[in-house]
Amino acid sequence: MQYDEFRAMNTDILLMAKGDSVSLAEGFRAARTYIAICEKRFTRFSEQSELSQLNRASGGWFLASQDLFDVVRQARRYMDQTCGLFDPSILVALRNAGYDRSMDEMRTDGAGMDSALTAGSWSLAGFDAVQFIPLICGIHLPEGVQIDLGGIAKGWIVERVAHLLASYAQACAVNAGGDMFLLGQPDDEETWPISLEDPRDPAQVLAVLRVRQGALATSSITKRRWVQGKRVQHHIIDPRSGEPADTDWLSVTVIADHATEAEVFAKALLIAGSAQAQVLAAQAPGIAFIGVKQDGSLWGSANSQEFLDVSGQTV
Amino acid sequence: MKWMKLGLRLWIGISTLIGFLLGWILLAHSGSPAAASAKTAGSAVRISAVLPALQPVPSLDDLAGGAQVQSVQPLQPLPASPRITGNAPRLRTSGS
Repeated sequence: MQYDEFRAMNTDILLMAKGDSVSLAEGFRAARTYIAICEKRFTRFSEQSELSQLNRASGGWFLASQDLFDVVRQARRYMDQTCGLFDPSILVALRNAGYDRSMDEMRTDGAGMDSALTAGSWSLAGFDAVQFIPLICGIHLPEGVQIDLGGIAKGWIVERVAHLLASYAQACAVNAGGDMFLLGQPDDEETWPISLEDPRDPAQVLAVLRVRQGALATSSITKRRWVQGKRVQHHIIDPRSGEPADTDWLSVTVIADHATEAEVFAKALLIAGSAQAQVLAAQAPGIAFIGVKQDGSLWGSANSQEFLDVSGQTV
Repeated sequence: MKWMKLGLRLWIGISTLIGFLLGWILLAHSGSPAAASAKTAGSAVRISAVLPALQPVPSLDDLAGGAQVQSVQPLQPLPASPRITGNAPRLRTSGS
């Protein structure tokens, strides 16, 4: 197994692949290039990105690339499937909470506050009224709606990169800050072993998961935190309140066929909390989820147990 | 031959006249350029109108109170993880 680790999309990227060294080196290069291109397209932290252009065009029709069109359309579908708990138009609320530049910059400079926006100004932005013309990749964001595709775009990119890398490798895994896509079988094993981090102490591993193929994503309220005024904020915004989610989960991990689905449901289940987790998960029958509560206890869907490695074997 | 030529000229003349008059009537009854552009704007609106109307986003509370909840499996407490010996897998859930 060969590895390539680097930083992109404001997160740590790990590419793992099995195969011929020369071919893998080329595959890693291609993957890096593809990630860089996608990051330029989907970032909200650059005025030149296609996403920023779409946001500026809100209220009118915007002719998007096939990639942006695909992600925005998926976002609208997932909004329905998660009963509105996934809503990419929480961008204003994110800025209200002080997340107005990349996390790397915030860790260096501290959180900010957009002077034009004040807490309490939140109202549901209206992404549900977005319109599409598939033939020309036309997107019509309702007037004033601004979207952030951070998580879902990362999942979409991870899955695309895995398929790209697979054309150079016998098996591969792509991990972008916990959003993973796995293809093929790793060395001498039928499944990919994955450490389930303890959200209270990332150095500790709560369990080992075993996944054959497909996607896995984790959302956590302990990863991207900052202090705004005297309040500790995190980046998981509850669209119902426009505030960082008040939830009894510390993190939720979802295993699904597709990375966008895993990413979206990890976030939505985290926001929903344990009391409504089963109802929400029933909207996507193919997924399995594992949540970590404040005391470190693990809870999950009935089908999640098949992914838990109970042997405790060494790796 | 002379009568045939005369008949042909007459037929061409009458056809031209009728064609001219029909064209005139057609143009007289078509919209002005301003009305045409207004019609284009109208058709743009109609494009929006024929786009498939999306259903309103359902509420999680509605689902929780509805019949669908009966098919939902209860949340499972998962077994405590065995002590992991050796190196933990390199792929980590991390989280974002």
